[in-house]
Amino acid sequence: MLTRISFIFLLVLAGNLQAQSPHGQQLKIDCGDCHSSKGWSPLNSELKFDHQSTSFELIGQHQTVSCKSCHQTLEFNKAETNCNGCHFDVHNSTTSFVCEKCHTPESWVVTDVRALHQNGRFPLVGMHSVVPCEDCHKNYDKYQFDILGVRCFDCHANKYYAAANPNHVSSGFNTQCETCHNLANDWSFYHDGIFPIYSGSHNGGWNKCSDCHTAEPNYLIFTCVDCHAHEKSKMDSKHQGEVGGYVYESHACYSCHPTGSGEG
Amino acid sequence: MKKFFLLLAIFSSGVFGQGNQKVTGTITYVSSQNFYVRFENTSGVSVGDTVYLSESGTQAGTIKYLSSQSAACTYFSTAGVELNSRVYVVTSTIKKDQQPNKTTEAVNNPPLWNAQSGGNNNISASENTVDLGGRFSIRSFINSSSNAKHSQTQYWRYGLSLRSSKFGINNLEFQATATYGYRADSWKNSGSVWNNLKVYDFFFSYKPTVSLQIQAGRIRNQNLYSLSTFDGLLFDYTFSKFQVGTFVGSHPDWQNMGVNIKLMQYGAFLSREDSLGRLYMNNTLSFANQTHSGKTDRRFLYFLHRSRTTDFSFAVSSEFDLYQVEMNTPKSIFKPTSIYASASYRFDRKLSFDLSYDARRTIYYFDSFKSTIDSILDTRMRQGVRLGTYYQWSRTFSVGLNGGFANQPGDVHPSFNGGTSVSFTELTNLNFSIVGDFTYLQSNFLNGFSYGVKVSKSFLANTLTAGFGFRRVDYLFARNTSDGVSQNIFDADAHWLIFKSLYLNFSYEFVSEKRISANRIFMGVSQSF
Repeated sequence: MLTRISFIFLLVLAGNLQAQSPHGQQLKIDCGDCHSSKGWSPLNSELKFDHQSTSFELIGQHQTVSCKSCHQTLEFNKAETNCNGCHFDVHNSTTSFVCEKCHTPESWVVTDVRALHQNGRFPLVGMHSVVPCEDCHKNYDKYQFDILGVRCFDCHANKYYAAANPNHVSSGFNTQCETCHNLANDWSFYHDGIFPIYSGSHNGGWNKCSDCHTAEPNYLIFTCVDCHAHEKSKMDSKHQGEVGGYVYESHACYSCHPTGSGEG
Repeated sequence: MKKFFLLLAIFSSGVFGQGNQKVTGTITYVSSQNFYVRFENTSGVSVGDTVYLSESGTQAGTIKYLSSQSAACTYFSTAGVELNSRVYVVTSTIKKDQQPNKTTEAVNNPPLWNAQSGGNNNISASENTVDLGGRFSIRSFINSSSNAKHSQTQYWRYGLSLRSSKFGINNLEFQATATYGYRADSWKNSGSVWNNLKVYDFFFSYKPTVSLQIQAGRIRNQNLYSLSTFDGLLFDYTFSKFQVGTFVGSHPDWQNMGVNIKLMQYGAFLSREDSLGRLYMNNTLSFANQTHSGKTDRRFLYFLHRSRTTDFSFAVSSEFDLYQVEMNTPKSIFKPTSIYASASYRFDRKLSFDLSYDARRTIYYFDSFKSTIDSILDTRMRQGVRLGTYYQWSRTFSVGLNGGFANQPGDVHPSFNGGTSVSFTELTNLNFSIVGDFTYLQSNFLNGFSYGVKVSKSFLANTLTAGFGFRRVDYLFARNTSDGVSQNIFDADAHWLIFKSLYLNFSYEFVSEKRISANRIFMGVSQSF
């Protein structure tokens, strides 16, 4: 019985010693895991404490930094676990506090740029796959990523204003560039996005732009009714009594037949 | 006898748990080099104070390290220094009690690491040595593509960061971070080397007293997140739970980050720290007025809140413009330019959640660098929400779900994405990992899927990690009846801790589309010292 009680005493004593550790009360490991009986320092050459058992596993370059870089005091649990607790936000608040969204403990360098964009608003496809980052992110070298619009016009407004053939401004084109330009094919003009003339019933039914755009270079002006296939007598007999509000006028044609087919 | 030991056990527990008020304590542990003293609390006690034996009044030693309740002491003499001996500290308690909490915190948590990690117990605070650490890195980025206009570009970037917690004299610290980067094919056309050199910070911090800090140089300060870096002076003073500071200097040049004294700015901040149990909280409010050639360019308020417990963290960052020029007439306003909030919660070791919201518009400087077109476009505030959850099903299997929504006025469609990832680790005897992911995206101009798989494995006692992956992307353009776009992406990477602090990084990516293909290679080596 005496042995048993002595053991209880030692346990209580050990418990108190633990509570008085300069490492605070959160560190509940054996002193001998790090210290030797020769003194508190130097530490054992091989520490039994496994940092991976904590909520902050040492991965990548965190394995190489000195302990005091993160643990400013001997109360180890006071070390920050959020990146910005130790690392300054070089992005000047232009990104977010969730550093691990872009960075890894292996390196600050963002190598998976493509996946980041795929999880954002602007996946990198086509020419955007190959242009240098700084073409869009103007403060890239300062690590600052200002909010960018994702409409074509947000970055290519200068091309809109500079376009001469046709002049986009005087023609009154809208600024939704993808209406006319082919995003999948090097920005080429794509009439079928507005009205199919390279496919469907109008494919091959014209020779030159002025067949329909009778007031070049104003390409907003077009005509459907000058064509023999759309003679007024034929159209009137087809629509009158069938379509309410019918008028024999090109814009009215387009509003009901935007794909150029008889159905709509 | 039984009762005696039980009483002794309870008594010893009581003695250790209570101690005396402020300056009286009990020796709770002795070793060949140090002895430990347990106090009720160490308020008013400082490193260097002499410890006396209560019984004889003789000097036992001096306090070397302090925590909130205990002290580690070095011996004057081992005579009488025994377990459970009562000791006291003679100190000017009143003077120290008047010190602010942060100061006490600093005293209670001295940088002990020189002795602890290096085994050098002889480093004295009064020695005029330089404690310098840092990192040097060399990085190369190579992009090549089948497009003639962007056939190949290579970038080099050299980085150096230095940090000294003691720079020659006591209480003087130093920090510097700089890179030198250039495009290999335009080295001759890059103009001045100053365009390639980017100094992100270069400043000294001096603490003439424990409460006062003066910083000079190209400064980055945690209380001025929103300001980024500036050239000038900063003073801050700590009292109680507060820290108040003021600064004056100039904003780095917009183009090359050089010094530009035309961009003078000044401001102030107030910060407060609180802790309640395990909850730690920090709130900072800062103000800045930025000028260009003497005229106000921007004036704003910045608020930062951060709080955390063991399992929960929450942060809010918000910025408000106070000044605007409208029709060439300056006026005072109160308009948010950015709000960012994030929260993460770890339910247990298996399940965690995170949520973030951001609303931002590009900051507009009226006289410095934005064009009229910029000012029109930049008024649109982008808003976004992201949420995610992660579940560690078992030691080797985990699954994650994430989703996000973002919109900016003028967008044809709001952007939405949602996805999942599954991760297997320590697979088979080969001990490799596989991560698979799937994401659906609907953006302003396209929608579709991306899905991929990545295999990785550690070698050489986990000092080398290497992996490769494949990703397939299938998108359709939303407002155009032309073809969609598909991509096949192959990537490989390796991270190698060659020596104790020499790190090598490599990554490669190849992407193939119907009309274009591209390669991206990154190589980097960094050495910490």
